[in-house]
Amino acid sequence: MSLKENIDSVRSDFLADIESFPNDAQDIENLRVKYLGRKGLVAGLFSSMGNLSAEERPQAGQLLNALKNDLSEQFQKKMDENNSGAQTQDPYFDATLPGIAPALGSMHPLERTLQEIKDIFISIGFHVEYGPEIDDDYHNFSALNFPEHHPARDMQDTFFVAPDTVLRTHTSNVQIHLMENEDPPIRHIVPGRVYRNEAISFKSYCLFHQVEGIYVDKNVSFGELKGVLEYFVRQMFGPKVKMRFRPSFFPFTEPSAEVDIWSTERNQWLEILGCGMVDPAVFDNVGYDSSIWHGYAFGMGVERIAMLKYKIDDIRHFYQGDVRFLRQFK
Amino acid sequence: MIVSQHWLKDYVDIDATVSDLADMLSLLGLEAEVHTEIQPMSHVVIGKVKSAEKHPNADKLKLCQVFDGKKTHQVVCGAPNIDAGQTIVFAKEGAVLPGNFKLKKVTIRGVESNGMICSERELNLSDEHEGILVLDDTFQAGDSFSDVIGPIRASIELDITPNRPDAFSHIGVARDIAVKTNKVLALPKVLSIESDGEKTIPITMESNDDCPRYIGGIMEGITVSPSPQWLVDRLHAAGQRSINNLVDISNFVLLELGHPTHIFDYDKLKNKEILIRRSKKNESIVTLDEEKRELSEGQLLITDGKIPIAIAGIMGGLESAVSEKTTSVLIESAYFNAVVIRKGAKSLSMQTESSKRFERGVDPNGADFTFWRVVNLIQDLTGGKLVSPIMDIYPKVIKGKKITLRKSELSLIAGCKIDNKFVENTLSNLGFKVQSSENEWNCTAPTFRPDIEREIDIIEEIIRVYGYDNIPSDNNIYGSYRIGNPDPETYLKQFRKLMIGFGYRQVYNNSLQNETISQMSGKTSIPMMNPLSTEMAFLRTSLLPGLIQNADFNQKNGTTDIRLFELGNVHAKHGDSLGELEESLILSCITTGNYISDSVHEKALNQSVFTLKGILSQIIESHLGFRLVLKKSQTPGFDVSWEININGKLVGYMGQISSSWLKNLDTDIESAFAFEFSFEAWKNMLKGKQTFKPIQTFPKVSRHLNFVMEESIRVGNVLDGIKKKAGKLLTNAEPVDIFRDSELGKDMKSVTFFIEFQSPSKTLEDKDVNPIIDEIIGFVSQQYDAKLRV
Repeated sequence: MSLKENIDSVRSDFLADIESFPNDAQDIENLRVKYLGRKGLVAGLFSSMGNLSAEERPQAGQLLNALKNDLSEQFQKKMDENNSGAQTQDPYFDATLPGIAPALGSMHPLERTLQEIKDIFISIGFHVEYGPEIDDDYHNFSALNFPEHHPARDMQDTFFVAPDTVLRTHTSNVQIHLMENEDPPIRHIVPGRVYRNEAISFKSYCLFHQVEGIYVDKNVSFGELKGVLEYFVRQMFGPKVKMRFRPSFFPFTEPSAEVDIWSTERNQWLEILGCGMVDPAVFDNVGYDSSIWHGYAFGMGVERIAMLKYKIDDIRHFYQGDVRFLRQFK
Repeated sequence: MIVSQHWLKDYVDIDATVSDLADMLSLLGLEAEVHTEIQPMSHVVIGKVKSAEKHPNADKLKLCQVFDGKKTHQVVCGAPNIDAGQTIVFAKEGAVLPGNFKLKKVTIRGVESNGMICSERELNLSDEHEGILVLDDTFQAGDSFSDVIGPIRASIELDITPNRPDAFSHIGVARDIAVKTNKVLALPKVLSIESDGEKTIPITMESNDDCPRYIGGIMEGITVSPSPQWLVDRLHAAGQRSINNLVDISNFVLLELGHPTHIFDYDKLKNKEILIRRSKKNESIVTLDEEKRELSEGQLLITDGKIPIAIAGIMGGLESAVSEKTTSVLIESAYFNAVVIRKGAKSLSMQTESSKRFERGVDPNGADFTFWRVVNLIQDLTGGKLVSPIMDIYPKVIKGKKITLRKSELSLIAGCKIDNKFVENTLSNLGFKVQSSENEWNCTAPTFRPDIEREIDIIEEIIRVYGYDNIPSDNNIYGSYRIGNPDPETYLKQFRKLMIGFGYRQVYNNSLQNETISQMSGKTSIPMMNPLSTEMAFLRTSLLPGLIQNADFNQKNGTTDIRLFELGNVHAKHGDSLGELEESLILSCITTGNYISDSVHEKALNQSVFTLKGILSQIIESHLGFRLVLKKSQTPGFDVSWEININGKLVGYMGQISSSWLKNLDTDIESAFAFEFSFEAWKNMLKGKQTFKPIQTFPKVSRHLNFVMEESIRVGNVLDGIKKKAGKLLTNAEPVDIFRDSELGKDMKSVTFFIEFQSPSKTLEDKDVNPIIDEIIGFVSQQYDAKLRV
């Protein structure tokens, strides 16, 4: 037989052998050795080149190299196919078994709601400020234009730590610290935990979380306040939500307003936040010239927003640490 | 406060339905909700009781004949107050009463009954169900109940904010409605009477600041009797009970004009004198509600010159109270200092209809109008006669504040131009005197609006009447940029995300705890002066007790593998001043149960100090790239514990929760593991910059070294030694296997370390690594008496 005929014969034998590619690793190895091993059939043909003339050798070398590459390639291809199917070819491989699942954590709904609120205000140029939960009466009340003997003080039931020291009833105390420390203009929101001395029920707890905002600049109008809160409410509750501004009273803002959104489910207005133009008395207290500076402020309860957003019916769920509640929030 | 729509109509035209009216008031700043609204009801009509005889077969039932305008029906009625001749509400056969109660013909104790005579509760008017509702005889039999009674009883509940003392009355609310709807406000007609009576009583005030004005007047010839129906209806609609004509007049005027008055029984005044003074030591008074009040010093009193007869502006005394037998009275219409009344009411823990109004501020210049209103009504309804001149002590007349409103400021605050005519009309309808000039308005505020003191107060009045919804929203962002991270707590995000990634659920716990729990950590907790309860009287000093209770709660509710964390503030007391009350932000976590649960793939692995140590190491070392050192410690709350040191700073603790804590917190938990650390000491490091380090590409060389050593040798210490000796080329060293066997000998273990090297500049060869390995072997063998196992 000529070398060419030998090559063809080896190739066709190889193709026949790999057609039914073995499963067993030893059989596979035997097959590789038979053709591609050091003493295999291809190697045998290479060694038979010694019998050829010097003119024939280069061409024969080319043919043999082509054969070797071809067989190696096809063998490897079969190996790959075989490997990738290794497990599925196990007739008893049971893919219906459950996966190996890592434990799943969850973010608290109040944290998640707070992040959303922060993101919305940061997107329109607000910075975030934090401050103390325990503060003096001055920062929590007097500086915010709550006169000492005024019924406005009854609006918030207060925990006292000392006659002149309170657990803050709102994060507005931080607005005072902020304005004491920084010159206008300012544009900040202040999130944090606040306390109210109220009986615990499905709708009230002895503490809650608030986000307040304040913007101070030379020309600030009620129209801007409306614009910014409409942006917030629509980002939070959807672009179609119906809302209204209703006159109200807070000692530290004037004019003051409550913002309501319409609940189609309950067929009524629901109060979601309070706001207003910063009262000039507050500016006077922090040393801002109220003839130059104007501003708006607003405040909302994170719990209230979260309860509306997720339709949570009892505020106490937030503080129970009940996994059956927590796991519902991703 | 409850206002009656029907009553409001006495002063202003109202076309709106009660719910539209409530909406209008809400949008004017008087937060309103419909209180009573009678829905149309068919087959419920006004009826007349023709006769009421005893039921033949029951002692407590009456057999009545009720005329419905056309026909007479036989009805059995059990109400104790039923009587012949009454005008009542009759629900005929076929009527559907609130609560979907359908009326059918029934037989009661053998007698047929066709329909029902209704109580207030059955009509959803109030909770009153002791007897049937008896109406004024002027109502016509046959008229529809909802048509004729509906409008009379329709009412709205208002939540009056502290800045609106004027709105604590029907007149005040009517004024707002008149201003908003451009209608005329009609005040009640009041006649001041020139009395020919000569009786007087000396009135003196100890302090004109406490009581700037006091009006008194004496009336005689009074007959106390039930109030006329219109007065009963008014009070009912406003949520009050009728008592008798005399008492009702005082209550009616309070609800009408918002100015409290007091009526003393003149004959019961032992000393015919009025002295308004502060209380002295050890004084007391029994008030109208029959409570004996011990008065602290400085309480403002009305006295008869000797003993207190009323607590000024708060409540009258029982001894001088009017009764059914009263024939002559002393009428008081005064103006007291708001702060004095507020302090007094606070110190007595009393809040009355009167004190609520005085402490917000009533109109000093309305006291005479109110006085005459009371006198007129007493004259009309009781037959009484004024026998004294009006005794009006008002030494220093209080005038309305003069305030300048700049037109430019109004436009600036509103963000839009509001028509000048609108401004002037609104202000004058609200009771202001207004003078207009080119750039401003000179206003005088009415004295019934003590809240209006500044320009901004007037701006609010204009804008609220203009309507917040009519102010165009400005959707532009103005102002300047501010450089810097917008959120200084951004650094916390990674901790939350990592903990959640490790399978932990975030909780928020109450900051208020009982004393014992709040002090478990060994720190001094901050007490509340006025706690809600002893269970919530102190601020927490650690997040761990809360987390332990959460874990127990969940275990009791069927979750056994628990991973929880909290990121929150704790407080500790280092002294009494505000500066010594420490607030710190803490991250804590707790875990109990399995780290890996039993499954077809794996065997269960319990949570342990190692699963927590792994998390800490991943966060602090792998993620943040800081040095984490855990040092054995004795920490409250833990049976076994370690200090957490980050880059040399002590920041917290980790370990196994102590069994005594688990017991003291009344849990069923057998073992739990936790860490808790604060951020204060090292948070600045977290804000540092991160820089890229070049990726190393030369091949790594690794070795396994197996040492046999005594059990008492700590693997971590050996590892530290290996790391030290391995030098700069080391990329990783860790124990990968610990093996015990009888062949090794008693109390011996074989530990295999994996050690890996890499050079940043070349391919490492044996000759580079072997000397290091030799040094490690030498060090470990000598230092720990360990033998290399080949």
